[in-house]
Amino acid sequence: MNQENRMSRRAALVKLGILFNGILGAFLAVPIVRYVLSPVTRERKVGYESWLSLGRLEQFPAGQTRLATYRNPVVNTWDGETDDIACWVRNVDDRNFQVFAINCAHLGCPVRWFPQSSLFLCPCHGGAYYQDGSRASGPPERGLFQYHYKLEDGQLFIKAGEMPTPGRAANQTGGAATCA
Amino acid sequence: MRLIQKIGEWFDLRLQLGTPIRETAEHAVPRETASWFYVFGSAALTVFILQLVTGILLALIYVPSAGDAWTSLQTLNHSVALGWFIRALHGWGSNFMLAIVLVHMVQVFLFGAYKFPRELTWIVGVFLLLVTLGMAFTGQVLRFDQDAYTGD
Repeated sequence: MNQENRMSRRAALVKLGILFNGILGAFLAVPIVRYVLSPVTRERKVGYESWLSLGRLEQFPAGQTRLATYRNPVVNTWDGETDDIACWVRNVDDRNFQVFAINCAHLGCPVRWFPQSSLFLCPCHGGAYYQDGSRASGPPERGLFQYHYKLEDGQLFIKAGEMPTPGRAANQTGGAATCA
Repeated sequence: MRLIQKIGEWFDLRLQLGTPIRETAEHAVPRETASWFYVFGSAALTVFILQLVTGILLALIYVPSAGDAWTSLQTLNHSVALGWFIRALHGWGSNFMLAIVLVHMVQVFLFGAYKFPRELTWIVGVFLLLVTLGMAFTGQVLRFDQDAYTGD
């Protein structure tokens, strides 16, 4: 190889630098392009955002709050009972319902409904919620999370598959004092 | 290769950026200044640009309200392709930016690079440090989780 055709050290290092920068650039650019194109390309998991029946409306008498369970639509065959998810169904007036995720909005423990005091109480850190799911007291910063629901063919359907925080939080207490 | 060159020339004819960039890159500097100690400034700029890009991308999805912020982060993590990765880049980028900016400041101080005629550069740098600290804090509390609530 004659002298004119030999690549200089500087030119070689510049090319090497461009190569490394290109690799790093691709490492960043590929995820960014995929992220931006996400609405077009994203794969929907089977069962994600699907409507699931919680049972017939007769199971949920007006003015009462009852426990219901449904099978998580996003499942693995080995999941067993862990796919049975509980939720609280409040029948307000036979036309309006509220379906609460059972998980406390603080750290996710299952809350329990106490009809005697009309409160949801969390056994872990004492979080309490009113019957409409809004926060009453304790460490949670918001109300219970609610599922979207619809009534069809005499059955109550919820939109599931978005655990652990489906839908919006129940009504905020509006800054009012929650305890004396 | 020829096509890339032609496209590059088309842009350069209009942007006129090639020559100044080349002149800057080829500007002769004393041999002893070709040191890794001088990379922190441009490293901070690189991470800043990364923060800018990933921040804009996250802002497309994020909902800035107490009720919906956390849910929108769940959407980012689980429903948007590589949303978790962009979030991670932004979160770690924030930490790295602070670290690099502080290392950069220490380097400038130890090298005496704040002295005449560069006092103004130092003053602007201190201002930028405060802005960086502010942005790191506001970015952290945007998550609206327990951590943000207690402000640590």
